[in-house]
Amino acid sequence: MNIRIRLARTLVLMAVAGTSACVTRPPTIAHVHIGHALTGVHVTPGHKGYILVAEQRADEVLAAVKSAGQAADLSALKAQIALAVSENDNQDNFGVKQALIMAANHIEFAATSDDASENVIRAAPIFKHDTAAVIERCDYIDLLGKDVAASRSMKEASLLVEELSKAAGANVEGADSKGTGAKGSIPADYGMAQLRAEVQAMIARENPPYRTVDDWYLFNLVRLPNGRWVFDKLGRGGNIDGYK
Amino acid sequence: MATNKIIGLLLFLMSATAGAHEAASPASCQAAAAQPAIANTKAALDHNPADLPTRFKLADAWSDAGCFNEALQVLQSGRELHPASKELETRLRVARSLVGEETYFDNLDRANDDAKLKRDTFRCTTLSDLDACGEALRMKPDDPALLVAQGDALVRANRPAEAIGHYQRAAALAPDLPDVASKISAAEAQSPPSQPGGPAAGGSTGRAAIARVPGAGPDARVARAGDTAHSLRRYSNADPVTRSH
Repeated sequence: MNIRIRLARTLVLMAVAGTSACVTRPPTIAHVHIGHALTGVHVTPGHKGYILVAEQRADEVLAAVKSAGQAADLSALKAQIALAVSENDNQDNFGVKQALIMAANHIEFAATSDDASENVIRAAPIFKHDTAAVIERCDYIDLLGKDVAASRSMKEASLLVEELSKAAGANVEGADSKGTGAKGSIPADYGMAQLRAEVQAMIARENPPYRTVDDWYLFNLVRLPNGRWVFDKLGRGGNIDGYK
Repeated sequence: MATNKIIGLLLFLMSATAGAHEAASPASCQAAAAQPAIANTKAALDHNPADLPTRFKLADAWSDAGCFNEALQVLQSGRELHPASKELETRLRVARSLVGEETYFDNLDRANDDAKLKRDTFRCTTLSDLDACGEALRMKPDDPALLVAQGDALVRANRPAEAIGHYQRAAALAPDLPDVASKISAAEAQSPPSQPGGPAAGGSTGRAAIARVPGAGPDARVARAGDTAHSLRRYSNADPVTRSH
């Protein structure tokens, strides 16, 4: 065989080996924590990332509130609002509020990891701060939901549902409190759409670049009793020490 | 030596991430400064500011007392003296995180309070719920729009005499507020002459009524006492607020 062809084959093989070495290199611990917020984590329904869960729940809250707005009678309306409240704030099944708080916590975990970049360290507290508007609306939806449950008139309940619809819609796509025509233009008006964009912008600034974290790493990051984060080499796919 | 440092650091991280200590109030932290563990270590550090282990010991003592801001300050002030210390950087990162956590919990509490105010304001303005008006005004006593909303709710509840004081106070706080003069006139017209705040008691209508000292008349006192009663009643019946931390 021609020596040039052999050389070319060797170079190709080396390039392939080099590429695969890059691909299989473990992600940073900081990026795995971000992956839990964005991509997947073993404790959520469907193993989805916390932001995905929060977005999905926010959509479900809005859908239930809209159904309540079309309910024929008070009991049907109340049933839909009870469902909305359950998707909004639910400790056992990750409501919007819980999923978003967990997302903020995991981005904070990322920022406190030894291998966190300056970009993540700077962005984490801003993201945490910016979650306040959605969390406040979650609390507001809870309170109005209780009012609906206590309501004895369809007229009063319908007025409450209108207000609930505004809050649930704002949690999905942001609010426009200044009436500028642009939703979510300031943090106080942020919904899940703006919060997701904020995290996406953070990871877009990462250097070395952030890559979607493989499930194995997402589901096998464990905290040792001494507080250190490591990957469980046995791949048991769960939390050894109560990590959520 | 290096192993000891690593073990020490890991133990610090372990205790920090475990979140064993509740954050203390500024007053508690002032009092904690007199504790021997803090006072003695501080004296030792003042004597030798370059002593990094003593600096860590002082930061740990503040942390143990729940005073995370103070711990952060101790570590931050060591940065110029030890710019290359990796351990100091790691501790600083964790300390900042703990301070951030504290702020986050405060923010969650604030979000809950703001949501409650928003709900009470909505119920007051849209549903004329007098209890909610009282609650909202307890949190924002000088909000002209809320005062007007409570006035409106009182008129709807056939208590126009009580409404007048609220309208007057709103007008004094925000003289440009529209329709308040006409609301006062309407409330006065609806008030029985014998009631305080009615035409007989005040002897003036509309803009003239606004000119009276706002919030100081008998009407305002009656209404505010009513608010307090509402507030107390609501508090005793209040549902426990769901918290998530």
